[in-house]
Amino acid sequence: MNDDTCYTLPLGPQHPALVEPEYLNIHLDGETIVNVDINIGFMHRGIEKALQQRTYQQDRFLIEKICGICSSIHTLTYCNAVEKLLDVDIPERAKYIRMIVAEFERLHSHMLWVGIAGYEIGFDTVFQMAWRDRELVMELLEDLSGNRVSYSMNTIGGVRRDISKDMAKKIRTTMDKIDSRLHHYINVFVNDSTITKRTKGTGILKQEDAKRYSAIGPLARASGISCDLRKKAPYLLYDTVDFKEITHDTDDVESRAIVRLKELLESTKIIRQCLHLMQKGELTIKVPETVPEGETISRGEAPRGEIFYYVRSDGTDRPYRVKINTPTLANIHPLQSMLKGQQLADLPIIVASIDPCFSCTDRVTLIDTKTGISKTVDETYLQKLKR
Amino acid sequence: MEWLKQLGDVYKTDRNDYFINTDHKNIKKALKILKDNNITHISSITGIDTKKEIEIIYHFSKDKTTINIKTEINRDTPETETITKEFPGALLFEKELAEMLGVTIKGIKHEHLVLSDRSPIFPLRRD
Repeated sequence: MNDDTCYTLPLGPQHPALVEPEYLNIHLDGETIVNVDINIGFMHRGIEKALQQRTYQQDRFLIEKICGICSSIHTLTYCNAVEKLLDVDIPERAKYIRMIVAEFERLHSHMLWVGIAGYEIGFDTVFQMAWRDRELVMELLEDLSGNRVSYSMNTIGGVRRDISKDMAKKIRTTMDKIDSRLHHYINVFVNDSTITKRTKGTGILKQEDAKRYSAIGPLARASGISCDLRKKAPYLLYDTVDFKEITHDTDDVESRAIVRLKELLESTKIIRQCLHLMQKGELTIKVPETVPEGETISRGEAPRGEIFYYVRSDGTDRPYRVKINTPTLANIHPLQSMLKGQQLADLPIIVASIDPCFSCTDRVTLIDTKTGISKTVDETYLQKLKR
Repeated sequence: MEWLKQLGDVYKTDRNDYFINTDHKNIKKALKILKDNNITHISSITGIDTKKEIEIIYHFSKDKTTINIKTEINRDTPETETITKEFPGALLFEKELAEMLGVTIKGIKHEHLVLSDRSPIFPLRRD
């Protein structure tokens, strides 16, 4: 922007706690956001290139490292794609275990988001409590797989670990506890005025804009778009379990919180049904190392939206091309229209509302375009603004 | 899905995944047909170096169906027009395609978006 009345505020890109740093250049008129330029790529690791140089089984471990939080849905979608190319059907028990772990992942990812949302609006009690409750799921994942993140449960042809009877009992008890906590958080996000004053009417993304920018996941569902792939294009055995797709139509940050929280109640429902429905049986089937020539598409509903895999095989043991699309890449673009006209103090919660693993507010430089004077401020400055 | 035949040669890789080989000069016409048939969501854009050409696949989706428009462009002077006028959500996918495979996309600003300045030129080329 060349307008002399505007300040330019570069935000980001790095923070030690972040998985996906982004860099936003924010043009301000006083405290009001006029425009936003978005830059990404600070964590680019060349994974698509590396996948071409490794075997299908080795790729599974690399794909697990794409995202710490979404590691299960990435391998699940990739394994589904390779299994399609191999034309194999994995055992039913393995499908249910994959679904259970994928829903655990949604639970801990959204609970983490609830905490971050509380933190971004200066309500640290919500942050502490949501993260405490998230530990219930993390402990289950650790018991089940041995790891809190990167569980390595999925493999081409099935899953690597079983759920014992004792484990199933523990999961059921924990789901009851989580349900009661979720009802509490829904009540807090809908009725607590400290929260609603910051979230109602903030960061509006109208339905037509969400459609225009191809927004996905809870962000699109909070603008009234029905796009849950578990319902729309069921994979594994999602068509055998009973659950509702959650949408809400107030288009704001509150709407996104409600969608995420209510969605978790459906997740616990899915987990209980999977435990009930799964029968004793094999966990894996043997698959060949080389994959027949062909191409395929696989999609899955990650906590943040659609995960997309395109895999092409040239008949060897290494893929010719793996194209991955992650939800954050699709959801960054709508940020522009969400931020325009909003107050600077609301920026952290609006950016966090797309759940991009990004709320970094350090290394900020303010530039006065009238005088050319720049000053660097730190996270504390923005923390003060948002309170 | 009979209308897909207007776009080019159609083949399926799965029950609901349609691939269509489309001549590069007909891409704009194909996009218009998609819009007319209420396809509004773009999932991704894949670029592949086949060593003879650069292949571009535009992945669209609606509910359980994916429609994948496949086209080929010259490998030595890869050039195509932006589709962001019809599908604004394609912007970042196009920028990624430009950086990874060196495809010139007419109608969008070219800048280093994903790669660092020290990265090799067009890393997904198979040279």
